Amino acid sequence: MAGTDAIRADAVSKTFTIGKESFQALGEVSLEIPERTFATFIGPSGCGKSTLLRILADVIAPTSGEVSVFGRSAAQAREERDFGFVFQDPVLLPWRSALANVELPMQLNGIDKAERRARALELLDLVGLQGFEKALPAKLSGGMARRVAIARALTLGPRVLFLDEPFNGLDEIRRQNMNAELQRIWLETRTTTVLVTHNVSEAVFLSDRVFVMGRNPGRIMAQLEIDLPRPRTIETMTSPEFVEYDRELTALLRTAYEDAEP
Amino acid sequence: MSRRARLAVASFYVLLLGAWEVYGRLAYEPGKLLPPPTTILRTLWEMRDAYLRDAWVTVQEAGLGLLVGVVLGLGIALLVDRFARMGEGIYRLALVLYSVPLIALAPALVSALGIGLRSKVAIAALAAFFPVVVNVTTALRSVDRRVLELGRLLSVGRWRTLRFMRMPYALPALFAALKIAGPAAVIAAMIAEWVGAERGLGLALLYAMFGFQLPNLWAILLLSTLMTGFAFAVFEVLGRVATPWHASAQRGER
Ligand SMILES: Nc1ncnc2c1ncn2[C@@H]1O[C@H](COP(=O)(O)OP(=O)(O)O)[C@@H](O)[C@H]1O
Ligand SMILES: [Mg+2]
Repeated sequence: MAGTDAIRADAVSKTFTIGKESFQALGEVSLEIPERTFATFIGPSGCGKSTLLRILADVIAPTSGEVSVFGRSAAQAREERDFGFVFQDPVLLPWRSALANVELPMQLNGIDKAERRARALELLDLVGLQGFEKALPAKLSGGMARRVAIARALTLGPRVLFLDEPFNGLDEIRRQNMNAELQRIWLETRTTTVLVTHNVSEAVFLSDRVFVMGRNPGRIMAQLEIDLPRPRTIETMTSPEFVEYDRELTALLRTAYEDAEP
Repeated sequence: MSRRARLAVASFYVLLLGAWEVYGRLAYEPGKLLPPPTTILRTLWEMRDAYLRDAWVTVQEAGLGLLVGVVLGLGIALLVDRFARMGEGIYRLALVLYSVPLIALAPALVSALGIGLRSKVAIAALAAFFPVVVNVTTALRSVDRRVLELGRLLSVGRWRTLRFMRMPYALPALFAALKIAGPAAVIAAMIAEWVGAERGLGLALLYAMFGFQLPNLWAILLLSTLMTGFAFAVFEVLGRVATPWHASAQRGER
């Protein structure tokens, strides 16, 4: 097996069964994500992006097919704390301060108090939340809560970071700022990252590799490598290369939508 | 409530008490239903030593009963949570047990456990455990699925998921249950004393009743209402202090 792939999915499918109804959310999906890559799934809503992401992270099991992460099964990788995961909503524990939320994974792994505190402070710093350590989630804005969730996902030094539409619902400027922040964090840590989004320019801005997904059943319809120098900036976004990638990805996505119409 | 509304409510009560006082003074003779409030207060003051001693006995019974009831209720809630199939059966059994009128069950328990502390604690516990079972079971069931997924991602075992991620979610529901269970335990302890006891406010009530001492009955009524009200207020305050993050504790903020 090649040593450079962080994640391989081999003919993964998922069928949900509710009562007597069954619904195929994912067809047979195969993909490879090399180590230290920033990969993105983009596609119409309901095409199975979240489902695929959750299967890769072993939050749910596939109906058929196999996932391997650094040569082991996804379940093994999860149990060995390989994954950081940011849900579509931040899912913070409301009784814990921002700091204590970031500490949670370390606390559950028996890391002693002084060490986990220091690490959590460092991570809150990294996501630009110094000064908000003591704030309860109810007092944080949506963007800040998401940054806490990102910090929490980074605590155990994951080998793979999963992000499910982490900036959904933020206005455009905040989203761009968060993207720049995310890129900075990624450049610092170089953690293999898998992002779900339905925003084209976000995908181009952040990714090395973009998977375009289609519906009925969910599948990968195209794959695009983004070869732009980093760090990418607001200026990059107006460069001819960026605009060309944006156009190309939009065209691919349009096909995915058209294909999905009955 | 606005200040004006509060003033209106206060004046309503003052008027009511005033009318009661006047009516009581004009029409009262020993043995009639409504002694004037000042007579009730004087009786309470004159009897304070005896009644406070009685009340303290009842408080102890109710407190111990509440403690036992809460431990029992939490235990049942956790069993129901852990063993879905068997839990359903336990839940039903708890419901049946709770449905038996305490006044019917009390004589049996007093006969079996004696007229001392034990029967009072048992009866108070029976009154207190069920609200805890219902509220905590429901709260544990309704924990956000994504929180459980977070637990799975962090590879946390069942027990620590419960302790760190699900139990705290159930805490506001537990305090809501205590606000019901606390007063219920006081009332149950008094019912138990009524059935058979050596001391306690329920017993004092019984004596006052058979002596046709209406001011004493009203005095005890007042005292026991203060006790149940206090039991409610304590858990209201504790709940707010213990779960400052919960929406019901953040009244007036934001
Ligand atoms: N737990 C589930 N049970 C039943 N159906 C589900 C479940 N999770 C997702 N689905 C269905 O699978 C499809 C893909 O969902 P999802 O992966 O969330 O899509 P996306 O993230 O691309 O919007 C949707 O039609 C959704 O209704
Ligand atoms: Mg989704």
